Amino acid sequence: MIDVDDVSVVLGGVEILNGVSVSVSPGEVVGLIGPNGAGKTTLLRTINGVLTPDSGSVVVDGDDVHTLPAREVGRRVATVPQDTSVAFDFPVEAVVEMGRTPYHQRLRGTDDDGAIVERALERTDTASLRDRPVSQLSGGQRQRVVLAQALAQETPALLLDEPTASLDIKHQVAMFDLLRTLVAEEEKAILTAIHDLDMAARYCDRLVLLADRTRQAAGVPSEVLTDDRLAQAFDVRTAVTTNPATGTPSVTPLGESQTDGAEVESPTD
Amino acid sequence: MSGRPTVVWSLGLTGLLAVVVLLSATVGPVSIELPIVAKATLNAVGVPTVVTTAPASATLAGVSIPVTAIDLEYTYLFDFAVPRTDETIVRQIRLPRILLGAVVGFALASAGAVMQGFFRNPMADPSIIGVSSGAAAGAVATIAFPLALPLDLQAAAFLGALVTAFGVYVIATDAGRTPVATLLLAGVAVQTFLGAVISFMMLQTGRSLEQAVFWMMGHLHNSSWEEVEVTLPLALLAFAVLFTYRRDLNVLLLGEEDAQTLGIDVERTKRVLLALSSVITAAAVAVSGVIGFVGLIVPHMLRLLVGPDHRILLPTSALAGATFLVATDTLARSGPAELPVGVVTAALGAPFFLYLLRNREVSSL
Repeated sequence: MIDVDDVSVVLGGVEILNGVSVSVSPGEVVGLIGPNGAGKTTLLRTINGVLTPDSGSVVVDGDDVHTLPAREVGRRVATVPQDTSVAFDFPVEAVVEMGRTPYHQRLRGTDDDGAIVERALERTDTASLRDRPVSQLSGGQRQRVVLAQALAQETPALLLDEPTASLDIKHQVAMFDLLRTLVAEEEKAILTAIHDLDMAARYCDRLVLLADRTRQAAGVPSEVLTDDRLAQAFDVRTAVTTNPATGTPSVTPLGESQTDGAEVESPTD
Repeated sequence: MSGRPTVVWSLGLTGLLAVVVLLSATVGPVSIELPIVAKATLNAVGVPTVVTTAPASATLAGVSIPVTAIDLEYTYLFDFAVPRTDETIVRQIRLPRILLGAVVGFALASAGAVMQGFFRNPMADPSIIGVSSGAAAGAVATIAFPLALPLDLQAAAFLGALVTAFGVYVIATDAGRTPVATLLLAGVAVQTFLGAVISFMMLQTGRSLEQAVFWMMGHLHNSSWEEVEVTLPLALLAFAVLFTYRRDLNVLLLGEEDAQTLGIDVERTKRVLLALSSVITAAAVAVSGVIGFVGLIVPHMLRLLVGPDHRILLPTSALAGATFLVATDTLARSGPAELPVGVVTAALGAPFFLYLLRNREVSSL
């Protein structure tokens, strides 16, 4: 569904991504992990067509997104950005309805907008907020509204940038449960940047580790989340254990690593 | 979703506009009673029945606007008995001025609503990309150097406005992208530069200085039916196209990047919106001079009343702008000495804007 092939991006003379390849199939959630500044957001912005790569290609659903008109890209890729702050007073329902933009004719809306918007509101637990001005919502509520907007876009591919950053634990779990439902029921291809490595390990089918402009590792969480890899990528000593409640890998940061990439002792041995 | 409130508000404001137009037509050196004004106004209502196309260079020398090339003959619907002098005053003197005021207010307010949304900046108004300065430069040039330019004042103002807007756009565009912040700064710089050019030209005007100053202040003096016939279709046409972009304007308020991921061709949409706002503003400024604050204040007032949704904001701003300018121009011409309407709109508009500012309403676009 999403095929990023050997993409390099230079912004303002600085190379942000160097030869990164990522693929996401329909029906899977892929987590994008890596330290701050590793290029996770840049990669997402390249996939949704906002940035044009200096080399390499991004193919979504069979076509290179950088050759498609914006409208067509908007029918294939929806994005939930990290910064969801808004400086205007549209009611929630109107913001969600904007997700239908790629389907609108210039002179009229589409007929099934109402039902699709309604379903997006319900799935994201925002139906009760529908008439509230979006500027009066909390950060977490706003994030769910923006997700509802992305769902209303009805795209086969969904990108999220730190979707749980401002959510409480209940809504963090609800967010990822919803993502699981979306891949299970609608075969969406989901790529999400995520800082919380435990959540990543628990909810993602595969992880891609970005660091130092390149892809350091890709695979199932237990392969990617190793002490050595994390030490190299994040420059921090960690202890990867198995979470007794979920049975998935759990990462405990211990402290700054002494020398970059040096052998680190693991207390779990 | 916002269909019904839009219709209700638009009908209400259209009714208000009609009432203000009629009341305005009763005011003047000769006071005419409302029933007579109403009858005389109805007598002036005609439908174009014979349409003939004339050569394109008909009205505005050098500018071939398609609408100017169409010649209309009207069939009038009513024929009430009205005193002849009253009918002449209402129909030949007051109505053209009132209707031109309505068209100009309509144009400035709709361009203002679009510009404020486009720039996501509550201080934006149609003059922000230099349209008004360009029009003023063109107009003053014909006053200062009447023999050097082959254009009449209105054509020069119209052209000056469009050339300036296009110039600002080109200056602010790099590699196919036009960042709005750059556009704003380029607009300010070009306005400053044209201000210097205008001042210099005004020094050369000699005895025509008064005419130049009067034009710069914004006025609806000596309006004619011909001016209404040229500006009205242009304003309505540009507005009709702008109105098809009402959803895109809403989505642009989310920010350009989000708008793009929602499937909007942002740069193309910006070009279209800029071009249409420039044309509609240029058409207004060419016939009325620089009338400030209508494009700034009216969309703000309406945003407070109907919210930020352009599906309702755009038509209501346009209608309210028409009403506002007709009302202020009535004030301008009802005093012992006639004032340029731009003075009245600024004198009323600026304090009102400060009031809004103090109440923080303008900060929430």
